[in-house]
Amino acid sequence: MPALPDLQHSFMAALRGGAEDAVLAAIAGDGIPAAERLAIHRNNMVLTLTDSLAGVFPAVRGLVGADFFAACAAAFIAAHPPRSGTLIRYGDRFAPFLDRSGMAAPVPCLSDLARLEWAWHQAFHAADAAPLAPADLGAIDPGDLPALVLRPHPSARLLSSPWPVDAVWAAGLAGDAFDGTVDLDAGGVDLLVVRPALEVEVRRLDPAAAALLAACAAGRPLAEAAATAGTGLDLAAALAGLLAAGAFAPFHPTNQEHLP
Amino acid sequence: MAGPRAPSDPPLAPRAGIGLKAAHVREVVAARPDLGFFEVHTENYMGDGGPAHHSLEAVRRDYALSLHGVALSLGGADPLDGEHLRATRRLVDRYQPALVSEHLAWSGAGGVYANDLLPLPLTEEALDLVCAHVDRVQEALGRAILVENPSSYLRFTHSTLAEPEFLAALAARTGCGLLLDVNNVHVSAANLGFDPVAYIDAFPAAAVGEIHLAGHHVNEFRGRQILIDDHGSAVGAPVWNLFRRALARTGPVPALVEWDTDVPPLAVLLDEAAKAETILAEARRACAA
Amino acid sequence: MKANTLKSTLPAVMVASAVAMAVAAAGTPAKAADKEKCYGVVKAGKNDCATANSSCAGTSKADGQKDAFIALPKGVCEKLVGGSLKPMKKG
Repeated sequence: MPALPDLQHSFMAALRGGAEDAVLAAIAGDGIPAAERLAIHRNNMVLTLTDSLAGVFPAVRGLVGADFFAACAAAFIAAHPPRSGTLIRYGDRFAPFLDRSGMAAPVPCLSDLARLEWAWHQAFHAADAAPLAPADLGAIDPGDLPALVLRPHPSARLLSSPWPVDAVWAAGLAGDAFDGTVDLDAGGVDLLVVRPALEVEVRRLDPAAAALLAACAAGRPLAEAAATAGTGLDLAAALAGLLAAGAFAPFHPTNQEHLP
Repeated sequence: MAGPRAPSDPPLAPRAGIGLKAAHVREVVAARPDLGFFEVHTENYMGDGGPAHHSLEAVRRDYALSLHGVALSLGGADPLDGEHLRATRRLVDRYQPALVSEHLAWSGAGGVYANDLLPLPLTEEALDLVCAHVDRVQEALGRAILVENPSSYLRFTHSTLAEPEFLAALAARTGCGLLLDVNNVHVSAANLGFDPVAYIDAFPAAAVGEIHLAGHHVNEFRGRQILIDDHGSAVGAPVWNLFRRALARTGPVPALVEWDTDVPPLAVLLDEAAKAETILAEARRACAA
Repeated sequence: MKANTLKSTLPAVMVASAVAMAVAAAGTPAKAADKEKCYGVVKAGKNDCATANSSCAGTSKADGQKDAFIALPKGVCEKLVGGSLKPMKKG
C-alpha cells in the first residue's frame, strides 16, 4: 500500500499523461476498469481548465474556433499547469506559450490578441479606485508640476502591437457573427486597457501618449516623462486624453509622495 | 485549542438557498427573491476588486452568505497553501459569511494544481492528515468550517474506513461540522456500488450544518452507468428522496441547490429552491410533532 | 543613479501650461452615475466544484495525449487579410 504522498505524486503524474501502473494497482475495478475511472479525473482536469482559459480568452477562441483553441489549451495545460488553486490567476503565460510553441504561427497576431485579453482580465479583477480627477491635478501648485509623479490607475495596462489587435479582438469576440475583414496591414496600435469604474475599456493611444504613460508608470516625474515621450508629444492633448480615460490613480489623501 | 466558533455564526436559518451565478446577479439584486441564503465559490472572489466584489457586496446586503471553497486541498500531502488560506481569511473578514465550507478531497501535488476534487484513500494516515489541515484552517479563520463528502468515481483498495466513519472521526477530532451533499452520495453510491440509504443512515447527523442538492449526468459505459456530478440539471427524484431521509435524521438544516453547468434562468433555480423549502417545511413539522 | 547622464526634462513653464490646458479640456470624467445599478460585464467565475459531464466520454489516454494536428478553420483566413509578410518592428 503506497504512502499518501507517493500515491498523490503518482496520481498527479498519471493525470498529466505519465505512467499509470502504480495508481491503477491501488484502484478497485468493481465492474468498471480502473483505467476508465482514472480517465474521468484526467479528462476533467483538461476539460475544466480549458473552460477556464476559454473564459479568459474568448476572442482567441472565437477567432480560431473551439477545436483549435482546445488543442492550444491542452498543450498549454500540459506545459504550464496551474500552480495555484485560484483560477482567476491562471493564463498569464498563455500568450508567450502561443509564440514559443509555434501553435500560433499560422495567425501571427494571435499571441498579441491573447496579451490584450489577459490585460483585460487583469483590469477586470484589479483593485478598485476612482481615477484621478482633473480638478485634483488642477489644484497642484504649478511650481510643483514638473516634479509631479503621476501613477497609473491600478487597472491600467499598456499594450503595443504591430497589428491592429483591437480590431482583431472585436472580430474574435463576434466569432461566427463577424462577416467583415480585418486588414492586418493597417498598422500597429498602442492600446490602453483600463477599468475606471466597473466596465473595462480598451482605447487606442497615440504612440507619444503611450510613451508618456509608460514613463509615468516607471516613476518618472512629469517634466522628465514628457521629454522621454519624444518630440511627437502634444503634452496637453495627451494628458487630457489620459485624464478622460481614467488612466491615472488618485492622489493619496494623506500620502504626499506624488509631490516633490 | 482555542475552540472555534460554531459552524454557523451568525446562525443561519434552516432554509433553502441557491448558488449565486454571475448571470443572475442583476435580477437577484433587483427582485430580491425570498431565499434563505446564497453560496459562492470562495476562489472566484480572490481578485482585488471589480464587478465580482461589487456584485457580492450588493447581494450580501440583503442575504446571508455561505463561502464554499474548492481548492484548499484539505487532503493534500503538500503543505496547505498559506496565501490561499490568508486570502480566504480576508474574504471571511470582509463578507462575514454564516457558513464556510470545503471538501474532503485533494487538488494537486508537487505544487501543481489539478482543478479537480481528487479522491483520498480512507485510511488512518489520510484521517490524521485531514485532521491536521482542518485544525490549521479553523485556527487561521478563527472559526469552524464544514467539510463536504465528495462525489467519487473510484475507490482505493487499501481504504480501511467507510466514508461516514471517516467524516465522523474528522468532526469529532477537529470540531468541524459536515456538509452532506446528497447528490454526491447518490453519484458515489452508483459509481462505487454501495447503498446510498445505508450511507445516509450511518452519517453523523448531529454534525451536519448544511445539505447540498444538485443534478448529475448519467453516462453509459459498456452496459454500466457512470454518474457524473456536473451540477447541470434539475435535482433528480432519488436525490430528493435522500434529502428527505437525511432531514429525518438531521432535523431541518440549511439546504443549497447547486447549478453550475448550463446555468438556467434564475426562475428555474428558484423553483428548485421552493421544492427544497417544501421538504424542509415537512421536516420542521415532523420535528415539532 | 546614473552618473554622467543629464536627464532631459520639459521646461517647467511648458509643463504648467500643458497641465492647465489638459485640466480644462478633460473637464469632469463621466461620472459613475448608474454605478449602483450596473454590475459590469457578466463574467462567470472560474472555480467551481462540478465535474465536466464529458469527463467520461470514453476518451482514452492515447486520445488525450495525441499530438494531433488541428487545422485552423478556413474562416480565420477570410476574416484576417494581409499580414502575410513579417511585420515591421514598430518604433
